[in-house]
Amino acid sequence: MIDLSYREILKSSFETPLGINIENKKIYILSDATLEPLEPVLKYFLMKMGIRSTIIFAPIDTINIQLLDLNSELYRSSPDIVFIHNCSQGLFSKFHQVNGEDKLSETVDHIIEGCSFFRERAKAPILIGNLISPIERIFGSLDRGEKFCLYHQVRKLNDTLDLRAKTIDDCIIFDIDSLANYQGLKNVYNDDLWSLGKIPFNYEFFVSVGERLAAILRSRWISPVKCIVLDLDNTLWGGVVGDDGVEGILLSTDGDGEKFYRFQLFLKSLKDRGILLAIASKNEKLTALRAIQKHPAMILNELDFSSIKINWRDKATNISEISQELNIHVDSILFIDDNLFERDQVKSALPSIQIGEINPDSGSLVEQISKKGFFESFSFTEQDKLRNEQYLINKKRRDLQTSFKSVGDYLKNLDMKARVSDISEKNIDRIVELTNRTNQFNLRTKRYSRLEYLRFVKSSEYKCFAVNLEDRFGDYGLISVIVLKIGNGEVFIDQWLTSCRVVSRTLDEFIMNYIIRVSVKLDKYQIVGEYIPTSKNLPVQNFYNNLGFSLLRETEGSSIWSIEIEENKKFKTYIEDGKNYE
Amino acid sequence: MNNDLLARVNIIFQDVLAQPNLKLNISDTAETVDGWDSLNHIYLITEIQKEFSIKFSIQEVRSIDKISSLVGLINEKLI
Repeated sequence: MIDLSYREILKSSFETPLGINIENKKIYILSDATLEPLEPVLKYFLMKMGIRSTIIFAPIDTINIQLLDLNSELYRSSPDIVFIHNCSQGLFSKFHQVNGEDKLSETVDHIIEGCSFFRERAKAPILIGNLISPIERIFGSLDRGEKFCLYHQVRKLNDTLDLRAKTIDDCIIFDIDSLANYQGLKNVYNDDLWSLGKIPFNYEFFVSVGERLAAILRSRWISPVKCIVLDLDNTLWGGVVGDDGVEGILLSTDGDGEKFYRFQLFLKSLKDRGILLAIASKNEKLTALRAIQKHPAMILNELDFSSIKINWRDKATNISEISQELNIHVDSILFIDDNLFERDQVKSALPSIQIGEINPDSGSLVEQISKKGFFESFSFTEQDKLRNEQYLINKKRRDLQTSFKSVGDYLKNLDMKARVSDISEKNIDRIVELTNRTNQFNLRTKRYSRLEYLRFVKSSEYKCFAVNLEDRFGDYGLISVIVLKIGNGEVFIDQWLTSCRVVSRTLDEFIMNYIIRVSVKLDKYQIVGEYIPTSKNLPVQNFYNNLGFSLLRETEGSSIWSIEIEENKKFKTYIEDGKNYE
Repeated sequence: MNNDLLARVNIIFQDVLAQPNLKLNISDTAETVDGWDSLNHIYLITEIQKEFSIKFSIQEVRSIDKISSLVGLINEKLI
């Protein structure tokens, strides 16, 4: 596994890979240094993920001038994302010119002030790069703890940034500092480049920054990783269980097997934070399962895996099945395997999948995966943590399903209850998360932000609500978001999205009944819906048709559907109303 | 000697400016070479220093604007 050099990236021709093609994304970069060398590397890594990009650099050192001026080029160019970078060098000279203990607090205030102002007025999310630790020490070890030392204050500045960025909607910290620590500060700073052209770090470090930034953007624009599919031999343990036997594989708390033991601990942490684990392995199933069940140093047990495919079929077929079983799109799956042949076969059959390359002979497996930034994510909620539990419960539901003769009997037996609620501060985080994550059951794919939703709530022109669902096996939580735009004669469904975990439960019918009730109350008897096709929402192509709407008009990028309703119109649903409406 | 240096410099220019067919001439200047702007200049010099294991002062980096002076300076440092 060789990391590319800056020069190799410049030299390479930029070819779009087959499979995924995200339209041109506009990235706006604001920095107090010369960050232009980032452009070719960022473009390169995004292109490898199938994302075409345009990168715009604001003139150097105009961060807040741009952020606070509604007429600035930043606002006029309406970017898809804004990256704000403050270099450490600029800060150091400021530090030495100011007196007092908390010399850098004003810097944080400025950054946060500019970002909040922008986020309240523009759509694009913001990434704030944190500050890279300085090298200067006026004691040595004491610098860390002594309040007046630069090192101490930079650390404090970064801590404050973490906290305050959380108070801004759709604004996250890009932890450049930890990237720099990983690469080693002496490989990051370069005084000559700084003196020559205010270039803040070495060219090779631009490669690290570009690669990581691309990973973060991929998690936003394509999908974060939701499931890891793992190979077994030379991945979860060393050696080949079919040849070496359960006793012969390398897996132990000490010695040659320790790296695999540590890798399993790492995977367990990922599982505990909500990423599903699955297995795709070419092995004799019974032998491999015996290793998982019986080996004394195994950290992961059979139940930690949401799906296990151990057979001699090709891995792409197995992964496609896992994807269907768990209802997780292939582009949200990371496949980890030590074997080049398997990785290539999977990548060519499933181009949108992410591939984790590991080599058990070259050091830490945890490092090989961790450094790639596969698990970057724009948001994290408590609900994410519960994902494993949810899928386990789903499995129970599926088992129940097979014991019924008809779908209706099954659905009735689930004892489903839905609760409709208004959009408010209480549920807005989850609503925004669902809005950003839902690709399949999303009719218009409008990625409304927190502020936009709250604006709809306040406006009399809109009616918004969210739906929670539970059944006898457990609580799905908030799984659907609806925004209705009230027109003169009709109600337009501006937003309708539903988590893919609850499809085919007659939830659409339940929601439709609610929409009808709202419309009738407003004296509107026509409901209009729109379907805007994307590469991922084919499952709802016939959504309105299935609900009895008729096609009003159709263009390439949209179809408009309409239905006339009457007061007593009711769709058949197996979901009970769990609560009275406000 | 200078021709050999020029050939090595040429490869760096080809890579950095992503122009695999670029053929530098000793009479070329920043004006005549497409893409040789102030930003690329810094990276070109970084790679040249690496290639020849030499070090230019900041003053020297700023003064270089012709292939002839670049090759001349490299030659000087190598002696």
